[in-house]
Amino acid sequence: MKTRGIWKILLLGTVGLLFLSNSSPLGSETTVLPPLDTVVADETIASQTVDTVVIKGMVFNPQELHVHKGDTVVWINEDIVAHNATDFPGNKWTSGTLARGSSWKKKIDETFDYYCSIHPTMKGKIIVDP
Amino acid sequence: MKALKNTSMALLFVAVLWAMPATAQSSSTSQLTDPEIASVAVTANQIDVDYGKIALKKAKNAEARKFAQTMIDDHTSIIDQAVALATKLGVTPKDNVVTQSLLDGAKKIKRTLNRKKGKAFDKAYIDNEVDYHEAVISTIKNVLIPQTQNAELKDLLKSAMPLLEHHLEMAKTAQADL
Repeated sequence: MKTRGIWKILLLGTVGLLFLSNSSPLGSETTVLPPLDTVVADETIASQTVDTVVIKGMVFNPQELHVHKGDTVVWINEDIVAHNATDFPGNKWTSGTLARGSSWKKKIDETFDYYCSIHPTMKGKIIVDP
Repeated sequence: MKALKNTSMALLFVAVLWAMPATAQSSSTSQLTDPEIASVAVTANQIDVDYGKIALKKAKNAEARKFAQTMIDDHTSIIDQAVALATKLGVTPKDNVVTQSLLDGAKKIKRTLNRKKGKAFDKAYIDNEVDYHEAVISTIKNVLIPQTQNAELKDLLKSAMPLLEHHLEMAKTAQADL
């Protein structure tokens, strides 16, 4: 009885090991791939330069920001009222209303002027360095 | 128009009087307490929200309407923060002579604005916004900030200054365009 029990355990263990060794490549494709995508995306973000413009006291700070093509700029509204960042003078794009404490990001491909269309004397500039 | 100008001048007079050294003041112009300052701050903002609401009903000029909406949004935002701070500090805004002076002035101005129509209204509204912001900036700078005891309330008043000065510039630009 005892010997038969040990054989049963060995047999089940072997079958289990075989199953695991066969299924692991499949498992890694299905379960690991999504995290791999995430890792790639994280690395891409980590390798990008992210610059920040803080909106406070009715100014964009810094008012002129030098970046490289492909960098990301984040506008953070730390002021006491809502603002926006809008292309100037053509209004080609806008962040939409940035409530107090909210932020908005944009990938930068070219030099541009921008302003707050709610408070039009608030102006800023993003300059893409060569 | 004369009534509007006179009311803002009266407000400026109140501001200057309150800014005088204590020894030069009469007993009626004593130091404001923080609850009284909170009351003045909320009232001053609410008055401009009210002017903006009248303008949205009556103004024809697109720039005047846009300006009015900005005044409503911005001053409502400041009121929300002032009320939140007062609640946090356990301060109940207290009625006082400056608050009453603001309300009396606003009553006259609203009456004058409500009598006007079309372009005359647009001009009266924007002219008053220039005068009112000048008066409020002076009151906050010379009266409220120096007399506020609580650091957070003082900071909130200070942080409103660039906004009010910006509003004044916007009003002057609109005034020149009308």
